[in-house]
Amino acid sequence: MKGEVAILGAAARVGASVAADLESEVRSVVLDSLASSKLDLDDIDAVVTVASDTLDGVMVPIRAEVAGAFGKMPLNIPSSAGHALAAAVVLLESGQARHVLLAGWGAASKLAHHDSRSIQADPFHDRPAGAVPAQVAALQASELLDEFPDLPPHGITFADGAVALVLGSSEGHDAAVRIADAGTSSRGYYPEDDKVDPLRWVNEAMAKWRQQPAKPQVAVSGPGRTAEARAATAFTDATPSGPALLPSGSEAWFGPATALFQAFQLHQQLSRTGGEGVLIDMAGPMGQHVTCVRLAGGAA
Amino acid sequence: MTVPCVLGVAQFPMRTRLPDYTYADLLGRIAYQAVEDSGVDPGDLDGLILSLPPTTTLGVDEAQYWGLAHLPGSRHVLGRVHAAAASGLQAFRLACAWVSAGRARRVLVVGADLADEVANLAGALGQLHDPFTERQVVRNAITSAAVQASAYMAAHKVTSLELASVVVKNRGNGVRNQYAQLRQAVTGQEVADSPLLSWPIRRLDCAPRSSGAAAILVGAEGTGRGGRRTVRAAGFGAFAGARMIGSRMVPGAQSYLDGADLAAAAAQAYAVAGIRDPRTEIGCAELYAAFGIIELLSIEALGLCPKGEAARRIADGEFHADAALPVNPSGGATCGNPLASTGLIRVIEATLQLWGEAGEKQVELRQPTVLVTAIAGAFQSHEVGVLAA
Amino acid sequence: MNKTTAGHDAESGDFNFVEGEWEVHQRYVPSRALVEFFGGLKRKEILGSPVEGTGRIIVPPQDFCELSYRPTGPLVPVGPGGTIRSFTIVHSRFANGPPPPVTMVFVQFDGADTASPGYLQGTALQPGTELELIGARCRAVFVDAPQGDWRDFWFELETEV
Repeated sequence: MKGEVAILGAAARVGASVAADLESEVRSVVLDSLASSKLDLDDIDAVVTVASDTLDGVMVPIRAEVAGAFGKMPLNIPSSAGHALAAAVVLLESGQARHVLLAGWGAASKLAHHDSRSIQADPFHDRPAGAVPAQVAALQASELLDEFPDLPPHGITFADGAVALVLGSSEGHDAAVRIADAGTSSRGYYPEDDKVDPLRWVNEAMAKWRQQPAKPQVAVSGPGRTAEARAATAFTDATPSGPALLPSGSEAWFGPATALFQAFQLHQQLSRTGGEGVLIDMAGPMGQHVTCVRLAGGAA
Repeated sequence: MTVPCVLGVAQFPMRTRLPDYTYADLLGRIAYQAVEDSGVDPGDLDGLILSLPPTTTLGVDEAQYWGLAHLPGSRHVLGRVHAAAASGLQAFRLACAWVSAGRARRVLVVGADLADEVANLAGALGQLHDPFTERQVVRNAITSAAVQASAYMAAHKVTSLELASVVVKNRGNGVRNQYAQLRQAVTGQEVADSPLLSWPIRRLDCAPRSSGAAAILVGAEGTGRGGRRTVRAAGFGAFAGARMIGSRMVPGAQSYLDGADLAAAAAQAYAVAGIRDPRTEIGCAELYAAFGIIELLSIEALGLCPKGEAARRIADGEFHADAALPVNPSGGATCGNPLASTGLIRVIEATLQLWGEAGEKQVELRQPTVLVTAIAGAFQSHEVGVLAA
Repeated sequence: MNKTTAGHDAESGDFNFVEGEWEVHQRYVPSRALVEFFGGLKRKEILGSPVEGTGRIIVPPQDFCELSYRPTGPLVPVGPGGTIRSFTIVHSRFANGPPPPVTMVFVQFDGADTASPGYLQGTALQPGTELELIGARCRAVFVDAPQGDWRDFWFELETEV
């Protein structure tokens, strides 16, 4: 692939509750993202999806046609938007695909009535002690607030959402927002080193970047507002009330694909203003599967 | 671009039950075995990918956070891949993309299954089907394969006994596979006499329910231990199929019955790998087939023999372990089918053949190229890979 | 509700298993096209979706074509006759199925470009003649009071095979 990987088009629909017609929302964002990239579905040769079978109630890889995947090379990565975005990048850079459609969705508003995620914990040690993602995240937030009392209180709002990004080579797309770098860092369900500070993981994920960003726009998605704010302190201008921090994932969390909405927001912002952006996706009960992506370019 | 190669492999003996292990135990064991096989230091990995289809059998949702602590590469989890029974091959393809792109030097792909922790798979597989139009009839994996078998028999005038030839071949191969769950040969008559599940599919046509584990370390050429032939991923193809299988069984659009979608995926893989005539350029194939009919359709769709002839050719000795182009010399999924691991096991068996380390299963490779496949759902989505030495 | 309780083996007293349950309530919402289709079933009609720009008719109906990704238009009648494209005779008792043996068929309704699953009733197949079902003509037969559910109809052969 010549050039760098770039986001050629993007679309998103995130709301309090659209679960009744989520398939239509997914199709809408796919078509809108294609339109904004000036490509057709025929130009797409790989479709990467991020969605949870449990939230959908249907096995996602068998219903990827909802994202236009019929006849395409599929890749289903339900673990996180960051993993899926990084996967899309390497599909392009390795030559497995020329244009990738990355689609993610989730109807997490149903979790507001009954949080079924209690089945996510180890059944031998954790579940008998009452471990559920909400509790694990609250414990992490409590520890962070003890040490950093200026962080915002913990909280997360469930929503429904669908996002689609079209990715391809930046060649011929001078104003496209490029994916300049990506890095990961992860820990076990309970971090092996007993340290729950997400800032540590974010710094690890960015450690091998070819270039550290200067004054980027920052968008974070994580297990709650406290952890997100802490992660964002990796960038001094990214304070909760500052202009550098875009609305975070916990304000409208719709499952593992949530950070695609943060990617969409960064794309929109950088397309208008240029400059650099950083996407921080922290997936898991404590956000312990971290992907950081540096974006650059857009309008001069 | 870096050429992705297989540096190390490991697989766990397949059994119905593995009561002495938790999912986390299996992951840990198999991960370290694969890394040890590669000769690479476990601290020298920069990526971990999980092959992890529906986890209802484990009783843990989003199990990608369970059991990862201290696994090689676990400081850089690159994702969980879920493509039903195709997860392993799709995860391997992703690992190869990471290495090929130069963004990771060594990526471990690991999968583990405990299949007997629920009473039956109805709940696990129930999410495969449309809740409004398919759950009202018994459209499941067995009946879906039976529908294919009926159409095949009618189209090509094949008898049940001829259809059974593929199972006889695989079960005979499984005797020589130390990892296989089923290691007893069967005759065509025994297959034909086994309980009828859904005409014409009989019990011995079906893969068993299996627990197991498998892992593959992918890396750049020359970064593993010396002394082995370099086995590289030469090409991949994939085709996401239709959810409603009925849309693909009508005249003019019957890939569900004739494998046209699989043929399209194979064409991609062949083009990348530079294969023009698979019949003469492929040395061996490890094809995913949870039912005998799937293997027959696959052999034909992959261009290894003309349509309608696979069953009779197998009955005549073609595609057996001592033939010019052996198919499933490991016994295939017929002899063991742990869902997270099965796609990885196809790659592992292919690699062992190319390394000359397949032991009693070793075939004489006419060409140093092995074809692997994996399927998601009921012959719906297809992954194809070509490995070459 | 999800619950997990620890257990001990009654004989040995060793801790060796954990009981658990996994319940995730789902409320599936049908598409616009399916709602209309189920309305048609109540009237003993079979309806299909025409795909914009292609002339392809899909049964069961969908709001968009999974193959071309194009939207579909107002539903049109298909059937009730059709052709059996394939079948199986189910001999096992599955969780969501009727007592065996039961014949499941995939029928392409007249006017449709897809095949749909259902049960064949009223036919006693002689061993050795099963394959004659493929290509056989059949028609949908409705229950007396359809509820707007896929189980409102079954298939019967137009002539014996």
